[in-house]
Amino acid sequence: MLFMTALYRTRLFFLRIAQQLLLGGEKPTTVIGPDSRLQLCKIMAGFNFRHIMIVTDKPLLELGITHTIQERLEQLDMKVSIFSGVKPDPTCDVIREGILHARQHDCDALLAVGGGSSIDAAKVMAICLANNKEPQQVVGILKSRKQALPLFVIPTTAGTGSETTVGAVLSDDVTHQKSLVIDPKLMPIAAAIDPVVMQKLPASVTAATGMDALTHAVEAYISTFSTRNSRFYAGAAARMIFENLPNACGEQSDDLEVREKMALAAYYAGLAITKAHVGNVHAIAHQLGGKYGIPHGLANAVLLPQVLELYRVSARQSLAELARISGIGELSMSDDQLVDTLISHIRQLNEKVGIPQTLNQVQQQDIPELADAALKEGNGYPVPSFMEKRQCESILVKVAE
Amino acid sequence: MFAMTSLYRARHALLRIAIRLIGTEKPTTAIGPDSSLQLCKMMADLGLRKVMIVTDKPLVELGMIDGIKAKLDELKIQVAVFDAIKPDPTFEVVREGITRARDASSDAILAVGGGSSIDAAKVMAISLTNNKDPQKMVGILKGRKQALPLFVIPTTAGTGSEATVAAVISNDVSHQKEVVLDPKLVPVAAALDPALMTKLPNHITAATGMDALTHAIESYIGVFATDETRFYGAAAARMVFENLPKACGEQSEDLEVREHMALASYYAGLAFTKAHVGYVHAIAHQLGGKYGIPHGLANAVMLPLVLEFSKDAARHKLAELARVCSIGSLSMSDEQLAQAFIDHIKSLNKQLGIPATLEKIERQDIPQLATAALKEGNSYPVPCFMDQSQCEAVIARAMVS
Repeated sequence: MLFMTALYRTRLFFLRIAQQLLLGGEKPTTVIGPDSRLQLCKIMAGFNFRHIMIVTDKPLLELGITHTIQERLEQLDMKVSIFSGVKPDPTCDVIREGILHARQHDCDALLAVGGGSSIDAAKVMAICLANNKEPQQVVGILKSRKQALPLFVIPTTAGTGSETTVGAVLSDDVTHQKSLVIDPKLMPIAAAIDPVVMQKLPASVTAATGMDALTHAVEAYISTFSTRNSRFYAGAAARMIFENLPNACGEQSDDLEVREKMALAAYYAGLAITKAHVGNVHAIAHQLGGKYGIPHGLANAVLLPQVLELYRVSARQSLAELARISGIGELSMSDDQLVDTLISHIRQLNEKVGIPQTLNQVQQQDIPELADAALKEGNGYPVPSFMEKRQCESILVKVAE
Repeated sequence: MFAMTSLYRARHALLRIAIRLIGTEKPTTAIGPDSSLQLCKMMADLGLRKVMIVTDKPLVELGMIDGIKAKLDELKIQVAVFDAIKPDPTFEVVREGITRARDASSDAILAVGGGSSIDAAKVMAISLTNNKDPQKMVGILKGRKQALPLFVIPTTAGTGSEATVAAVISNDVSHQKEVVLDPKLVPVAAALDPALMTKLPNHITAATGMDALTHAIESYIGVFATDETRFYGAAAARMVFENLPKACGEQSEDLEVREHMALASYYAGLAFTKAHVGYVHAIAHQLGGKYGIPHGLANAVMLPLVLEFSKDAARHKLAELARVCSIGSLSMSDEQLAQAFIDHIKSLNKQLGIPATLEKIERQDIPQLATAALKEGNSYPVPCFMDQSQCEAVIARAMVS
């Protein structure tokens, strides 16, 4: 019996390794549709939490977005405290404050209500809290051992897709350089995709965050890591954004159907990048964000058509395929024509939603340094073809004009 | 440049392996009354045009798929209905479904039903894209290509199959149950819609609910359990204890109660897809194969008997579960709590009208049943292994004396 037990245990050990190879990461459980944020509160109650810390920003708090959520949680017998110290591109300092706040109140779950900044900050707080680590210590891949504190998410923008990714971006306190935390433990337990909290989003933010989602979809689609599965989601996301973003920025801005489609598109694009990653658009945009504080979505939107010009050859087929899936161009067109049409369609979309062609904060003299940093990051991504320094510089020159 | 390119590609290859390690498998979920219609909308968003519904005749006759069909029609998705699923589906039935899907050139599959319909649909979906006979998919990771996009609407709260990487199909001749294991079997999305469960007859609600409880407990006490699987296992167990008596009683039409049961079943699925099941299932599968005893019923009867056997080895875990589920009192020792927990299950069974023994078991079959159960069960991460005489004794206790 002892021998057999040892044999079985050994077999189980290998099965376990194999299983972790295969499973591991996650998707959040999702609730979708108007008022699904209240449904999320019910889901949280199912886990018997005592004290929830809501991670959000001041503007949302003042708009009263967190109010109904807090009320609902309290009705369901959970204590709530609010940490509203998140600012765009959150720094380690902010995250440390949040951690302290959660410790003081002995919180046993976190609920992020906000855009990518609040979600990413909450992700890092959750993993630091459970592992008793400083934010800088979890930067990198798989730096923590224990499951994060249970994290729930209500995105209030349709863009980052952070509710369904295993990454979080945080900024250095001094240099504002962005660094990445990657860990499947960052995946929230559940997320509510609720168009109601997005109805009042200003057109400029809707446009920039929506273009962020489109950038995720496009970069994931043409990535060399892309799979049938990631293309399935990326293709759907791109089509939904082309169809709905102009409406969400225009007269239908408070149409719940339109907002829900945008929110789902951002979520699908998030699923795609979790497997297939992003590319050079993000690599450059992160530098512009770090150096000048240009909002991430805006930088992506401006850079996207410029960077795609580089891939006319290396990503011809996948860009043409994406055009076909998105219903852009005609069936009779060649791949080259389809790529042309797709790129000009993106330029037109930018124009329609009020995104400029250039970013005047970018200074000529900074360009070599920005390009170096962008290449360092971008060469770590599964891009269809690697950028050369002069190519990257010339893109930045065009953007600076 | 060439050297660098190869270097980056090499780095990507490693990173890609790392991402595979991370994986991401869980369905996107829609939860709540009429979430099944939301699921239909998601199918349209994802660009699917021709769907085959996999279900059973009784559900069709009860009109359970009418609303879904009407919604799909409205969304201009072509629908074919395959309603030949019977309990414990065989490969023959799966093959029929595959032919039907090929004839209709379906680009997606929607399972509407209990575990039998969902499992059959899973194997159809993976066999279709891999162009293989379903029997060839038995085992671990036999499909190379992504399955045909699969969507699931469970109509019982028990199997949790909407959340798992497994499907059980019966051999055409021997009726032995065979397991297909592949992360590609996880559906794209699932709707947990309590409105489809309010008419479920009591005895089915009871048996399927006890199946979910068995998943929660076996995964919790198994040696593969992690913080994460215990998080879901505990929540599921607590929710079943609180809601199953109500769902089988006067509150059988209460949407809240049914929704809690559906979520509990899904959480239990999340737990056991990673932490597996144990001897209860191993024995129940044999009883199902040999006598056609419904899976949930067999699990319900075997659960307390197997726990009595595992009581010492799993004492701490069982005590922990008792505490989480508010069973017993704070002053009790672990040993007392474990016993209280088992007694609680026995009285729950009684309350639900589940018998303590199964009339169909014949004494002369027991040695053979035990051998088969051990063959299956010894590959599960059980808290302690059984030998032949122990297994025979456990099965004998389920026999009418």
